[in-house]
Amino acid sequence: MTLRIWMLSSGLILVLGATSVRAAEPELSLGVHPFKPPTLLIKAFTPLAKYLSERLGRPVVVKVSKDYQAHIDLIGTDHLDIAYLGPAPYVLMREKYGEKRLLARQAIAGSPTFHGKIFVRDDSPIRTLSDLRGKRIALGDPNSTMTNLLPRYLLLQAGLESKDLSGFGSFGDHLNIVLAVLAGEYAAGAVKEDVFIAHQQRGLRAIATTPAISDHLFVASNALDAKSVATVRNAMLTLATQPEGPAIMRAITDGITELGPVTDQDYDNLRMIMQQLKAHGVIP
Amino acid sequence: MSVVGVHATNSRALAVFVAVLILFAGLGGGLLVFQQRQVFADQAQRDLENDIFVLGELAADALLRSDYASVERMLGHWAENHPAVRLLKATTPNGFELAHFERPTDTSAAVSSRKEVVFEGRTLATLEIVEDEAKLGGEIVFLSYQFFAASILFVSLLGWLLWLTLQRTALRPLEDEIKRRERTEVELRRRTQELEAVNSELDAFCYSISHDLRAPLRAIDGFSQVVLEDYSDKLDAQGRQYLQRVCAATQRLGYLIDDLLRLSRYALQELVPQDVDLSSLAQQFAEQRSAAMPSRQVTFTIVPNLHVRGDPQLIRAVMHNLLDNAWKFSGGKSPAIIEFGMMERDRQRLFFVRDNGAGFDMKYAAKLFGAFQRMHKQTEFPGSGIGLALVKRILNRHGGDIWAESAPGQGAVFYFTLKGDA
Repeated sequence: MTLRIWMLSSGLILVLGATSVRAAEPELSLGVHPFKPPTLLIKAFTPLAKYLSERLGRPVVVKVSKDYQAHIDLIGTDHLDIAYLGPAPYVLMREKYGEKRLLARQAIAGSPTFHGKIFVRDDSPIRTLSDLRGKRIALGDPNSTMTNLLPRYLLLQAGLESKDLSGFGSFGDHLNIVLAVLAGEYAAGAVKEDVFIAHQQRGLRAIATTPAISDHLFVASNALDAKSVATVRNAMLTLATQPEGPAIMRAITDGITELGPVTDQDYDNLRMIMQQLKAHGVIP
Repeated sequence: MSVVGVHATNSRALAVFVAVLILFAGLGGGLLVFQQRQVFADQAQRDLENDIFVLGELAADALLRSDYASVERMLGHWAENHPAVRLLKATTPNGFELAHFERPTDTSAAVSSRKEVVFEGRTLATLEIVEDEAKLGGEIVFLSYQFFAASILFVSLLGWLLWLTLQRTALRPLEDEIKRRERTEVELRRRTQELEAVNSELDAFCYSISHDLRAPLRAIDGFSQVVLEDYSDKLDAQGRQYLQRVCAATQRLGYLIDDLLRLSRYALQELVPQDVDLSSLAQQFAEQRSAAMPSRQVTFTIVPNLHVRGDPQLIRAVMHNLLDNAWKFSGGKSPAIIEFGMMERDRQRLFFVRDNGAGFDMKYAAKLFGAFQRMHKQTEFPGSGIGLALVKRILNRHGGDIWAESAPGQGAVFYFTLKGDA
């Protein structure tokens, strides 16, 4: 409780939206890492929060964490009741704070795994990863799977370490990475494949694709009672069959077709990659 | 200039004045609208400059922290929420269009602004915004309608006041003149009716007198004949001659009374207009006279099918008198030539009877149509001198006229017209 009060007072948690069902019931928090601007994330997850509220019979509010690390810490310390996590943050959180009850994993176009892209501008002379030597690359949060860790892994595979580049940009927003490259501020950038596809026509060209990684997932706090966990899990796994399901999922990320079952083993290949990154000092 | 002409001229002047007024009002209005349009356009341009300045400041902060997405989102939202925005572009120094918004429009008028977002000498982006002048156009149209309505009201009011002034100044004398002439016309009509009544009474009186004179005249003639027949042996030759002269004089007086009666009768007789064939009347006269006096060599030249509309009996008298005169006064010629024909002058038909007879001196022409006026001695050409007076009276009653041209020994031509002839 002391940590929660400290985090709230220091602004580590942004409470940006709420859905009230019964004022008497204590509210549950649905935490989201800041992969988009908070206003957009609140809008994106509020339909899901409302859906869960109706199933649980108690209010669920959307909370956007200050950054990826804060998000990992909040769910790791059970200060969020439900958390939406990227693959790498999940692996880091699991490693640091131990086991959590997994709820569901998103599948885009039926696929529960996803890729990332390293890209350049269409008119760029860069053709391969090795051409990036001495260039500036726009990356995302240090804990972001597809905007940081996997791209760094690909660069290592291509023989490029941090010292071989002239700099990294650190963006919290995937779109900003795309725009920073298009504006010419960076020679290359890395984003999720769906983000790359959405903006490819503006003048992007991919030069590398990451391995397939198990997609984003929802986890429950260890503090949440078993009944609520079961209710939430069931609600998520049956979301695709509900009349409002497609709209709720589409609001989170365009292309989600279902929230499917998930196991910790689904992230084993990512763990191996991250171990290599640790070995090279990319991850402390 | 007639009253109607003056009225028409004033109406034209009023119309021209109002037209000039409308023209000036239109020009003034156009100028005002143009000026107001310029004011609106300047205001729209200033508003746009303010907007682009604020947007540039906001964009600069975001661009300095490489928050391109915020700039793109902010500009997009701003453009969507400003209906006048037709085009918005934000371009980074490398030419990348960070934000691009376009909205279809039907309006041609637009204001535009371009601003470079600069921080410490470094260009971060260039903003360009084009806005419709649709709102401006609407305001101008509204203003134009207002001014048009005001102009119509102003011109109508001024025209009405001008009309009142004209009525009080220029038109009042004209109206007075019209009334005065109308009064004169009524008076003239009244006097004409009085004159006609007097003439009618005079003709009736003349007829009555002539009729009453016949009884004593018959007595004088009768008793003179009795004296000549029963008492001629008691009279010497001179006495018989005197009585014979009394008889001759009474006979002449009888003829004169007959003519006077005829003249009065024609004046009093009611007209019954019909189609009359003048050529046929002339032809009948020629045939009768030629048959009666085959010894005379007379050549008649008659133009056929000349018709008029008039009283048949009176028109017959006209033709008879004129042709009889021609026959009589050409008695000394062999061959005599008598013509009846028609010519047109000033779109009016002139009928004429021409002969190659004795003719007359034109200095007496004024007396020609007076009653009992004669140009020749009774011994040369017999007659009462009533014929042409009768002809003139008949023609006048038909709305026509008669005049003559002649010279002594050169024959004579009598022209006559009839109103409404066929």
